[in-house]
Amino acid sequence: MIDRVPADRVPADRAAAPAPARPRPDGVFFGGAARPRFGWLHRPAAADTRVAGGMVPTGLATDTALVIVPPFGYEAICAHRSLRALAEAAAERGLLGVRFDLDGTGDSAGDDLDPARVEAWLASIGDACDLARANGASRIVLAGVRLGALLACLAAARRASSASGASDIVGVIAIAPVTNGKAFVREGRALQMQLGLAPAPPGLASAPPALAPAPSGLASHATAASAADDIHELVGFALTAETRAALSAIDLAKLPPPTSAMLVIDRDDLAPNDKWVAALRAGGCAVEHVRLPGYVEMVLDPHKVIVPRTIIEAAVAFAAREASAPATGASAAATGASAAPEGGRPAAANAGDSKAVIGGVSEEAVWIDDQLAAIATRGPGVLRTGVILLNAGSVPRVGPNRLHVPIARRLAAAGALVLRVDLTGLGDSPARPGAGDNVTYGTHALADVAAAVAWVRAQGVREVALVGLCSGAYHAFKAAVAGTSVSAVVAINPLTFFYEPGMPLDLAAFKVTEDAQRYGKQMKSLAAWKKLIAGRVNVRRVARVVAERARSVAEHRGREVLRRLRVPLTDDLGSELYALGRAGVSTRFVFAGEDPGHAMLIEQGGSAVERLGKQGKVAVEVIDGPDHTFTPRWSHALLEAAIRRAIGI
Amino acid sequence: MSENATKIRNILKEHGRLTKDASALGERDDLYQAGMTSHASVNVMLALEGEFDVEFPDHMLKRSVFESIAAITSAIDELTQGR
Repeated sequence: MIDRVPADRVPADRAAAPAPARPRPDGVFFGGAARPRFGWLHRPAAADTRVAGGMVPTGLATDTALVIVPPFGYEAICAHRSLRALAEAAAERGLLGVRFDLDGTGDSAGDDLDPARVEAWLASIGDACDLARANGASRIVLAGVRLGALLACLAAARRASSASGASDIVGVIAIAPVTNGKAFVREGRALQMQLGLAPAPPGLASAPPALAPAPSGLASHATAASAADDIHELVGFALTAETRAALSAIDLAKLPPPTSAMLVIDRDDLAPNDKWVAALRAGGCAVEHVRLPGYVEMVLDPHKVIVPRTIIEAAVAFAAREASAPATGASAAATGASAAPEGGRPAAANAGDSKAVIGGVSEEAVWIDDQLAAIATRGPGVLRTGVILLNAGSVPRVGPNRLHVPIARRLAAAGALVLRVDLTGLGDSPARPGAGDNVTYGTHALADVAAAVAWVRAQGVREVALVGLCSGAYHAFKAAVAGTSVSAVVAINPLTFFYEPGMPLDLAAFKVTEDAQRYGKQMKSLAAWKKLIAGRVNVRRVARVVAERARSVAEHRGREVLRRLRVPLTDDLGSELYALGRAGVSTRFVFAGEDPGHAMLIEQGGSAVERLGKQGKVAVEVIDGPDHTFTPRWSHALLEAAIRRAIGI
Repeated sequence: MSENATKIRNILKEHGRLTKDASALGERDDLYQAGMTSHASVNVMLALEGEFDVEFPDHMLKRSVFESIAAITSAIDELTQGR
């Protein structure tokens, strides 16, 4: 569940500071055809001697890889940008930076509700290590964040005790580590309950209903529901009873420590893990233990994230030190065995491929115009429609709650070509030269969308639909208004129809609309009146909101009159809707019940909404209950169904 | 002010990420309106558990238990009753 992304809530430092140009990483699927996982290889710039396909081992500046194990769920969404920065920093120090999505997460195959999650996560870490080895590394430093740190410790121990008896893990970095699985499960339970999300409406099960038969190998909502009778939601993600039990059985303090050197980077907002570190040392592990700032800012909502440079510098310095140390003992033996990764497959099979088949649909990591990172998903049949899923705020291309991934795979199975793409400066796409990083309403967004549409059209589809939530809705709508050749726009919970840089946030249209809606409800609340009488209400704020609402209503009534008189208007939503109608673009709006964009559409669009609605050119669908980003899992299927209705698949 | 209330205010000051001074808050002031996020409230919960050596049971893991100093005090009193 993320805060809504207002038009101009962009930290000044980020908007002003151009992102440095960096070598493009290679997006690869790895781990075998039965269960492809997705990852990125960040090669050291000096050793970037890629050849066609980019999948052959290259000479690295060192023989060491930093393999990054992400946290779980919403934390992984938030930490994405920081983990990318960590991989880039590793590459700049001559290491092979490897980041990847755990089994069933991100762009990898599978789902939270699949069985044996912990084992599958550990297997995917092993496969990521094999990927690093197949791409030239013979020594590995694992860096895990939060639950990823717990998994990294387990994976390192498992690799050390593998049949070969020679571990290639020379270091483990635990960043803000979860050391006790039971505590993690409980913390997640507490966070979920604190969110106070709406329960499923009567008649709708808390688990999403089945939408359509899922392609073979893809978790469907139906199988998910039957596989997990007792799902605990975790901010848009899920832990099954089996996963919770497996996690709850893990207490790192009671397990043998990794045999490699360790760096424990504790967060500075909670008590340090002194007991665990003491247990590690008592077990003979050489541990550096530091407490650094940055974790809290690393897992803020994605548009607010601040990359924790101090943590990254400490982690990379540790990894580089291990990389420069002479190989000894077990690691030396493992280095000598670099041609035979532990997974047992030949090196070439583990080197990664830009394409994979997941559940009967093919996925391909693509770079569009050498600028936009995307995953294209195709079904086995003739392509009919192209669907482009845009970033929701600063959430990477997997979408809020990873919704884009199953939606893309199911739409592809139904005959669509689906592109889930990161606009420049978001997700895995670098900012354009001179542009800021992590800017949600970037000035290059329209050009990015146009490039994505051109790429999809070049694949042979005839019709293209743009789908986006929040800022993605804005960019989809504005791209169509700007003349980008699309047949349909699905705008989910837009918060603005006219982006105005520099507008004070507290009087942004969506905020004023939202506050006015809340005041309207509170007029009927005795508690609210008591609060007012007790002097605990910001009366000045209420007065400003009411005045701004009055001004806005008057303005849009005036625009309605001028529109009917056919007076040309600028920045006029009604005029833009009419223009799209004339261009033959089907415009569909989907709103969560309480989202302020709905009221803004009705007010700013005026009679155009109803008139074009009668002509079938505009449609509005409201889903009652969920929050702005459709966090409750019961709402996911409803949103997917609304998207499918809107694009006719 | 009770000893528990003082400890709670100190924890809120350190972990609540409030936009207002915790010592200036009223007993029944809404902590969420004072800037405490859901994530911060979990940190507050963990810190309270450490400070008072208690464990919040599932039925207490809800917004209302952490919405004010009075609500937190009541919960802590309930959990430490009989000690």
